[in-house]
Amino acid sequence: MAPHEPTNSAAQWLDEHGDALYRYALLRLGDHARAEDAVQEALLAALQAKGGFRGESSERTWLTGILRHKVLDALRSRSREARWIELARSTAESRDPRFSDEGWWTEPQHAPRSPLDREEARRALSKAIGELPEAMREVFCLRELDGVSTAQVCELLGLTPTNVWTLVHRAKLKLRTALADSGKEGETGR
Amino acid sequence: MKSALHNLWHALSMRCEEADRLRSLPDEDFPRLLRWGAAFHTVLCKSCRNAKRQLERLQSTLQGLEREPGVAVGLSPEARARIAKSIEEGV
Repeated sequence: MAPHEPTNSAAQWLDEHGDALYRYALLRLGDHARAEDAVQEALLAALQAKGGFRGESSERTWLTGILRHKVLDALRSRSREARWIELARSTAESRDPRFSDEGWWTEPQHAPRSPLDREEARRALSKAIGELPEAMREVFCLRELDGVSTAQVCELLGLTPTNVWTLVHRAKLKLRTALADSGKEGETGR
Repeated sequence: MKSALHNLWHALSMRCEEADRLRSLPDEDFPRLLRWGAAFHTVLCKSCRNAKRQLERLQSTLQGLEREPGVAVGLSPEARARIAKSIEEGV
């Protein structure tokens, strides 16, 4: 065996990392079937690239890196559809009801009242990300979870920087409101 | 001079929506004057101060979401079997 070859077989990767890889893909793609396909393609690609594993990271990290490319491929192919571009642009260009036409908050914003249990907060956040509109979720995950630059997101998805900024901002607005509301519910429930 | 005064006035008279967007995108290349304008607005506006705290909670929760996603979602047995089969065939 080569010194840095992964120690596990592809079947073991599926056993040990399958669920984590699936969650990674599902969070970004928002669709069970597409997430499963991405995991399958990633594991097959990893099998072929086994010699490329340099042992500088864990197997999970290496596999996630391969999966990331598969997810980006899936997003890229989706963004080629005129329907997706239209959806993304209309989402970015619609007015946000939280702000008036003049740009002021329409309702006072409340601070997160009680610190959430970390697990509860992550659960609420995962759920809220899953409920974001499709284009908004994809742009948000690329920018905020994967650290892809705005320029790269624009290139990948065929959007303008203003579209990307607006989608990220709107996504954060929805997510932080969902988190703040979770805290509020938790507090009033006591 | 007129342009500089205009930019300063724009920064000082910023509305909540623009201030909120600037807070949401901290690593973007927006002019420093606009950043100061957003910070100035936030000091004065209670809703924006609360919105800033909501954003801070979001950022702290996002960190670590990958490691511990908080949801026990996994591959279905059917999907697992299908992927295992494709791996076998791919070997």
